[in-house]
Amino acid sequence: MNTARAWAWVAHLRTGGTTPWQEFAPGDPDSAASSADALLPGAIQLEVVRRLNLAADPAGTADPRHRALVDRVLAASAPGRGQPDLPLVGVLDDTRFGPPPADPAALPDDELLRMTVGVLAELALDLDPGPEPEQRSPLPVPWRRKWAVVGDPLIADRTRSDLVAAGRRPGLRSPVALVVADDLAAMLADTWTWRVRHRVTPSWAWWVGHWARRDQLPPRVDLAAVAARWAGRVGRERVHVLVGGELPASLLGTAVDLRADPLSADAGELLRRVNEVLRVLVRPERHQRLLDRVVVPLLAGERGTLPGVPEAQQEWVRRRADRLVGELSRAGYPVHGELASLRPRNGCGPTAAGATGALDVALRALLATRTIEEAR
Amino acid sequence: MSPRRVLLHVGTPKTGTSYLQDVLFRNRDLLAGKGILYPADRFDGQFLAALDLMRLPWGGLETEAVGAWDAMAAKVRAFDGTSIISHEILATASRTQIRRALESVGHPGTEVHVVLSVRDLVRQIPAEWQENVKHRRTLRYDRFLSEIRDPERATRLATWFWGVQEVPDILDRWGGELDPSRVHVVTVPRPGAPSTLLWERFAETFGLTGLPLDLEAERSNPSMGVPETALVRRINRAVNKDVEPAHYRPLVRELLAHNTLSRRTGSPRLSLPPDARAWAEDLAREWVAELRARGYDVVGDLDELLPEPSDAPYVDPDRPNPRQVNQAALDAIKALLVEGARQRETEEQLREELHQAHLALERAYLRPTYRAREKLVRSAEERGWGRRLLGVYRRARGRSSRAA
Repeated sequence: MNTARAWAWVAHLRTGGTTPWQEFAPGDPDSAASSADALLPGAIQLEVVRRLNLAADPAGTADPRHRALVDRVLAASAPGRGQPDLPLVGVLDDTRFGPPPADPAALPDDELLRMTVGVLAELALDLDPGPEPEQRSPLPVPWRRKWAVVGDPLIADRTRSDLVAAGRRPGLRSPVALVVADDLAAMLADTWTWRVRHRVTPSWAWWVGHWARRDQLPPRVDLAAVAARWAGRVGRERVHVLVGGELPASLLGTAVDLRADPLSADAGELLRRVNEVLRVLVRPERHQRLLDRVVVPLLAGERGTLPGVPEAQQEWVRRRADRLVGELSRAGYPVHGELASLRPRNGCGPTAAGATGALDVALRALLATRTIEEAR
Repeated sequence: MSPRRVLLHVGTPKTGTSYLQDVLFRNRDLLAGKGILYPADRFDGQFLAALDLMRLPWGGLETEAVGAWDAMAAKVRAFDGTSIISHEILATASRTQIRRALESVGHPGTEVHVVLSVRDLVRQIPAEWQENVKHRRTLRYDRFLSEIRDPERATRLATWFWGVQEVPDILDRWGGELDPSRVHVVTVPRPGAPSTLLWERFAETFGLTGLPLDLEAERSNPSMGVPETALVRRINRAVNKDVEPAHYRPLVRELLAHNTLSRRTGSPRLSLPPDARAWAEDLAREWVAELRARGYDVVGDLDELLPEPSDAPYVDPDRPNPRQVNQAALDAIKALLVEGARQRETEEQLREELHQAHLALERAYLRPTYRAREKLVRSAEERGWGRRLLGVYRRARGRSSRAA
C-alpha cells in the first residue's frame, strides 16, 4: 500500500502537483500504475520536481515539454559527491541497509541543487547548437585608431563589443590602451564571474581568500601592472585609465558607456557548479560553447546582487585599493573619472551565495530550457 | 567463439583492489591472448571510466575522463570472450547509474557477473580514515568514528563511507537485477593467512588460475601506522592552504605516505576503540547473516567478515606518542630533503641544457638574413592583410613554416 501511495505521488507530481509527500493523500492509491522493473524515484528527485512545479506557471505544467522535463529529473542521478538516491520515508521502512529514508520536504537545498545542476548540465548537451562556422575578420580601416581594452574583464568584454557594434573596429593608426576600472571589490566580483563563465570551479570565497593569502591581485585587475605593460608597448601617454562613466568620444570617435554584464552571486554560484559537471561530461572547447550559447543565455535575467567580499578579506581589499590608487596616480597616465572610486564603496557588500539562492536560479533555468526547445 | 561474459568488480576499497588492477593492467596483452579483455589504455583507465559513469570530480582528473565509460563499454561489447572491469569507487554508484552501466556492457543479453571483495569492518574502518587522511582530510579519528556511527549519515564523509563499505547495500544495488549465482563475494583472509591466498581467490573468481601472469606488483596502496597517520593529518592541517592538489599528490601522498611512512612497520597499527569495536562486530554479524541468506557465490568464507579477538591495546591516533611522531617526522624530513636535492640536481641539469639551447639559438639569430625575415613575418602577423598574405604564401609553399 505504501508503495502504491508513493507511485500515486509520483503521478501527482508528473501532472504538475505541488503537495508535499507528508500531506499527500491519494484519492485511489491503487490507481497509480508502475511497471514491474521501474525504479521508484528517490526523495531528492521527487522534491526537485515538486519545486519545479512550484516555480512554474501552473498553466505550463500541463505542457508536454514540462512533462518531459519532469521525467528527466525523475530518471536522473545527482552528479558528484553527496547523498545517494534516498528512499522515500514511509514506504519501505523495514529496510535494514542503505541510506536512511528521507522526507523530501526536509532535504537540504544543497542536495536539491546538486541534482538540479546535473539535469541542467545534461540538458545543455542536448541543446548544444554545435560549432559556429569560422568567420573571417573584416579588413581594418587604415585611418582608424588601433585600440585594446583591458582591465575589469566584464567591462572590457562589453566595451569591446559596444565599440565594434558602433562600427569602431580597431584600425591601423598608432594604438591606444584603454584600462577600464571600477571599485576594486566590484572588479574582483567581475573577474570571478568572468572566470566562472570560462569554465573554472573554485568558489568565490575560496578564490578571494586565495588572492588575499598571496597578497596579490588577479592579473586582469592588477591595473598598475596591466597599465605598465601596455605603457611599455604603446607609450605612457597612450594608456588611458577609465574609471566608471563612459569612454569619451575624444578617444575613439564615439562615446560608449562603461558597463558590465554581471550575473548575480547566485547565478555565478550556479554556473560554477554547472562547470563542475560539464568538466566531466565534455571537453573544454565544447564546455565553453555550452556556457556561451546555452547556459549563460538561460541566466540572462539573473541580475541580482554581486558576490561581496567576505569579512576576512575586506581589510585586504581596502588596503590593495589604496595601493592601486597610489600606483596609478604616481605613474601619471591620463585618467578619465576619479581614481578614488577604485576604493570599495559602502564597505564591501554582503558575502554571497548560498545553495538556496542558486537553487532558485537553477529551477528557473531548467524551466527556461523548455522555451529554448520550443524556439527550435 | 567463446561465450561473451562480463565480470564487474565494484569494490570494496582496501581489499587488494590496487594489486589486482595492477596485475590485470600489466598482463593485459597476455590476457587478451587467452580470451580475457581488461579494457584500459592506461593504468587508471578504468578509474577514469568510473568517474565518467558517476559524473564524479576528482581533483581535476575528471577532465581526462570525458566519454571514458562509453568508450570502455564499446570495447567490452565488441569483444568475444570474458571482459573484466574493476574499480572500487563503482561501489557508490546509484541504481540509475548501475542500470546504465549494465546495459552499456550488454545486459541482459550478455552474461554479466558482479564481484565484490570484502574485508571485516574492524580493519576497514581505520583503513578508510587513513585513506581520508591521505586525501588531504584533517578530520580527527574520534570525529570520523562519530560521523560514520551517526544513523542519519548526514555528512559527505559518512555518505561516502557507507556507499563504498556497506556490503549488503552495495550488493542490493549492483546485484538487484542479477541471479544470486552471478554475484560473487570474495572475502579477504584473516591476518596471518598465506600471503597468496587472496590472489588465489581473485584468480578463481576471474578465471585466471593457471595463467602465466607476472604477479610482481608495481602499484599498491600500503598502510601506515598510528604515529605516521597522525603525522600526515598534522601535515595536512599545516599545508592544505598552501600546497595545491597537483603537488600534494606526488609529495605527500606518494613520497611521504606511500614510499616513506608506510615502510615504518614497527609502529602501532590503527584499530578501533573498544566501544566502536563492539558496534562493528554487531554490524558484521548482521551482515554475514544477511549475505548467507541471499545465496550469493562466496569465494572464501563469510566468517572472515567477523573480526578475530585481539589482545593488542588500542592506541589512539588523536593522542599519539610524541616520540613516535617525532621519529616519523624525521623520516619524512629526510625523504623530502633527498627529493629536494634530487630536484635541485635536475634543475641544474635543465638550466645547463637551456643555456646551451639559448647559445645555439643566438648563433642562429645572428645571421642577418634570418633577422630580416623574422622582422618581416612579425610585422605581417600583426595585420589582417599580412596574415592572409602569409597564409597564401604558406599554402603555395605546400607546408606550414610556422614551426621554423
